[in-house]
Amino acid sequence: MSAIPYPGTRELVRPARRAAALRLLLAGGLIAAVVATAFSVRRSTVAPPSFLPTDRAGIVVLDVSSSITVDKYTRIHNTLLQLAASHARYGLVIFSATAYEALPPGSAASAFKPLARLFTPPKGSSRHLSAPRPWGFFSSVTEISSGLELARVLIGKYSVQHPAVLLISDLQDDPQDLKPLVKILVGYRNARIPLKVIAVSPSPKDLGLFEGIFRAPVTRAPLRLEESSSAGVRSSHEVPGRPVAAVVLFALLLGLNELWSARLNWRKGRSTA
Amino acid sequence: MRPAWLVAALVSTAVAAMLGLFAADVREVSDRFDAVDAGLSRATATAPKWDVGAMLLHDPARRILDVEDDRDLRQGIWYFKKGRRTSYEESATASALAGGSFVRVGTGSNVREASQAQDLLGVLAYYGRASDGVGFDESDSVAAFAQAVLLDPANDDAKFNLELILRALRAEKVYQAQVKSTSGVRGSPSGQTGGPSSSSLQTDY
Repeated sequence: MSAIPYPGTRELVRPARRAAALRLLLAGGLIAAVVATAFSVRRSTVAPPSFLPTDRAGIVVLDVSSSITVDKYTRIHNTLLQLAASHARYGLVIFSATAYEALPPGSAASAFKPLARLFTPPKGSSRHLSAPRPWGFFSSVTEISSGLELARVLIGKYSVQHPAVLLISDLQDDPQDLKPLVKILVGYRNARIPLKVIAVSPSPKDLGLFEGIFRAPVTRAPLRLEESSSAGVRSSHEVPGRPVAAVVLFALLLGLNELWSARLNWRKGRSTA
Repeated sequence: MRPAWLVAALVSTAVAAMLGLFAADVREVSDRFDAVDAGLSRATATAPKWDVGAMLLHDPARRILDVEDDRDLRQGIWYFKKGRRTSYEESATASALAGGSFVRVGTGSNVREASQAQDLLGVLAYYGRASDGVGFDESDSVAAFAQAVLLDPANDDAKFNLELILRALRAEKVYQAQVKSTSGVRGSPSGQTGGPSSSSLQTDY
């Protein structure tokens, strides 16, 4: 015998509907959470990269000193293209031994596109290149402090709210520049200006020195654009936490519901008379 | 044995093992700091080593103990001492590394250590100014000493250094006013600033 005859099934109709509705609700929630997760992952993967917090007004401080290799050119080119794709607004300071304001704070990121073109290594170029025109004439020495100081001056001059500074450099700083650099860092700390560094093919010694001075890990400039996920836009590829948590929660609830509150199955019996 | 008891026993064993490993990691951090402190007092030539493998993943002991400021301050002091006994170029690098550490700790959440770091930053700024006149000037030292006193009014070294430098600056102003009134020439004739000598600032950390 595979069934128990029961005459009062009419009383079970409402609880059965309730159980089915709950089951449908949980299953629907699970499907919605899975779709939301998939959508979020897709969205975050194609989101434009951002080197600085999106709520900050960024000023990019770009090192154009000489002795630049093809590798460095390519990395600067890619970093600038990523900035151009970010749809944010930036100021731009260009420096080697001296610094000047190339773009005022609040300029559209798309302005970096023509700048990136200047760092496209010519085809068949040798390993070493000179600094791109028009900066070749003033790029023999690197004084990072000059670029960072001008960025701080611009923040004051334009009354930039919630500023952040992004330094792009190979970190081959003049040893004479180290003391002024610490002074600049004091100013940045006191003014609570976040400073992020993108290192362009730094030597291990320079990288260690600057990580020691800045007391923070330094991000490496990407050699290929798809490298950016490991170079500084890691967050844009992360699986979003909340939708995943919702998937787990709905799956758990649905499982528990099936385990403890699964509806009974019955069918109308055939008359035995 | 009921399955529930078996599970409870397994969970308890795992928790006990984790706590044991955590305690070992805490002990390791403490021993490491003792070793570094001993090295600092002997002014060892090699930089303090901090990277000791933790037994637990992600090193929760260091996270919970929140030793970043302690570590950075000690590193800064080591570089600060190194910067005073090496060649010019090495000294510039060591001073920059010391300065970076003091800047970070000096704006950190541990008020006592932040005060120490600000005081040392003031001394570093003063030495930087005294040796080559590039970068820092007296006002940076005064600002750092004042910040150190504000952060920890019980920091006697910072109070001493602040008073010393303020007195020296006052004396220099008076001296310059006298020179100006007598000869009309600005600045001291031998390039002396009238500030405290390098050895008179207190750095008793």
